[in-house]
Amino acid sequence: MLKKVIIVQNKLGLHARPCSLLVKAAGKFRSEFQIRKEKMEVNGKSILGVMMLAAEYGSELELVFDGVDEEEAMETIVNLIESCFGEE
Amino acid sequence: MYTIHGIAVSTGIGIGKARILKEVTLSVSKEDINPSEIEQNIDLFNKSIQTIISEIDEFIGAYHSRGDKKTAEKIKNQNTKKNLTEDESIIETHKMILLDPEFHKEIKRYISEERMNLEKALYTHFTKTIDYFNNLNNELYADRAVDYDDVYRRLLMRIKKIDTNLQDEIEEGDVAVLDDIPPSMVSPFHKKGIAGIALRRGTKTSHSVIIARALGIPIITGIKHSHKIHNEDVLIIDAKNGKIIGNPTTEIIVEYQILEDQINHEKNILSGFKEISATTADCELIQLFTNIELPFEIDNILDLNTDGIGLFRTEFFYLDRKNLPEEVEQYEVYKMIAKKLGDKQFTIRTIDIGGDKVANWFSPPKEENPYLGCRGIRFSLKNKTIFKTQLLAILRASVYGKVQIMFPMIASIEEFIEAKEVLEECKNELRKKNIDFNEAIPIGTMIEIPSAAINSEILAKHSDFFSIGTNDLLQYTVAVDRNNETIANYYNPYSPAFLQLMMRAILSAKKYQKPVSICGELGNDHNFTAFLLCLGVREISVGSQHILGLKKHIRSINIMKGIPFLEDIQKCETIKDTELFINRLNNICIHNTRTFLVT
Repeated sequence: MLKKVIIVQNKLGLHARPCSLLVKAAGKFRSEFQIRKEKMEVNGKSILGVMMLAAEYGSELELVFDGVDEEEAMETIVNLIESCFGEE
Repeated sequence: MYTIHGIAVSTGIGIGKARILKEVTLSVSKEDINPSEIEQNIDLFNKSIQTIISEIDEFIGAYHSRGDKKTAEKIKNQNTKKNLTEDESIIETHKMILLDPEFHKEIKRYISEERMNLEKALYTHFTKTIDYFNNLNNELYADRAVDYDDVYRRLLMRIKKIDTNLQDEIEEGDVAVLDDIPPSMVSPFHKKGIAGIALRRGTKTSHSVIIARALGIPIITGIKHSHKIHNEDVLIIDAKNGKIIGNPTTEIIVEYQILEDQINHEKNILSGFKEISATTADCELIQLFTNIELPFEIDNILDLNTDGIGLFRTEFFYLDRKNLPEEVEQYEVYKMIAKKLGDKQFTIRTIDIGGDKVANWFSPPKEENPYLGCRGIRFSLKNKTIFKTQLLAILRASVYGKVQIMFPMIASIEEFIEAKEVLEECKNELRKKNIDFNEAIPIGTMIEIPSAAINSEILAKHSDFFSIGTNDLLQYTVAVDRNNETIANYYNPYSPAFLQLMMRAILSAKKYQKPVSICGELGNDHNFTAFLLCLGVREISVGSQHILGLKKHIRSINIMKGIPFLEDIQKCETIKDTELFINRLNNICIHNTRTFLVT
């Protein structure tokens, strides 16, 4: 199991488009992927779950990956969030 | 025979059989299920999801291969709910919602553990979700509630085997009678060959009406006493006069059929003008642009072979919705249009809300006199975040084509400079982030306030181009609200004062060698075309339905013949004088014998 804490850096937060990109990317891996924000924990492969986080700019997220391709999955997802999903 | 009156919002004549359409209300069965029914409900759930997903995939396929006519045709015939111009990303989102593992888990739990039937399970899940997003009080998430609602309705209709598509009830040549029509339904109706649409509600500016007009469907709104209409009645939609004749006598049908034939005949002749240029009889090339209100109109424009878009009204982004458009949403639309236009000009007018156009999300302090209130550029300068979002989106799209920006309702040079400064700030933001945009993007002024016309020299010095909005310029010059019937006769484009102001603006632009175009109704008033061309106007922008007629007219004009008489306008003291002057000018310049075959 791999864990990583990350801050949402794009100004508009995890609104629809970033959520779609995140879930789409996560869906390519076999590992389980959970996201924790404060007391909430959601399935990172669920668009509803990720949107329900309503993670705004500056939110702290804990990403938890578990499975055969967890390393690759973590790298991809972290890159995506750190690149601000190609937004500002 | 009976006659029903409504509001004229388009032109044309439609004759066909009445088809009364009712809106679908979705009721949900609340009964719990037996353990033996669990599997059956889950099966139905899986199958419905699968069917919708494959519809979506096919749709996306068609979206990507628009050149491939066969696929497009296939999709067209499959009653795909959304039309092809819809943003693909929304559809992708719908797909994700449908495939969401948590959603599947929850529905299955509702069915197997709580013994809900599938309809109730869906209702419970989606109501909870939609409420959650709405209660976040964040416009970005409120939009998601709309997506979830859309998916919910689609699923439920599939399960209840309710036909999602009103167009299935329509047959070729029918006249649809209904309360209101969703914008996404107009195009499918058109493809079915509908003869006309009669709405009990709907306004002149609603999206559906705009689409119907652009597609050439005769449409009437606000019809009263619609109970008189029965299914299968023969209806004549006289859209131009805003009336419907029910079960007419043979004589009247023949009368209207002749009229319809004439209109069609004219259309056929005009279609011959698509491929040729708008060149005058003395070989001056005039550029014809289109005014558009909705992005989907772009395809129609490409077909008409015009010189581009002279006025893209961007209000649709802000009206008819509960939230503000994001930068990325606007950017995608501008980009799509710019790319399709290629090297043709694309003029985007920044937000012109206020006045009579008020958005849902925006409840301004009630103004005593909205036409003299916070509208156009005044609104933008007071709401800089909204303004900047739009400017950033336009700038980012500017690398994809010949994009230019136009500011509406400029009254003084100060406002123009302030607006330009905001644009400069946006440019700086993009530079910092190394995002590409066209550094030399042309910035134009809309001349529609008398003070701007009077001070047009200084504005011409600072602007890259002018566009004259003749409707507002006339209304502000003569201080007449043209929608006010009791004084509408004072709203007269032959007003010497108005023409002097317009001429002044044109001359200022000429003096500084800046392009000037006409984008108001005067541009489509054939009586004025020769006059405008003689004054030196070489660009006119009109609604797409007027392009070919105007082109035909321009080809009959000889500018050189009119120029020597132009100064007589200075002697016009009254409206009567101007009318005589314009008539004389037309007699001198216009050669009706010139056919389109002579190039």
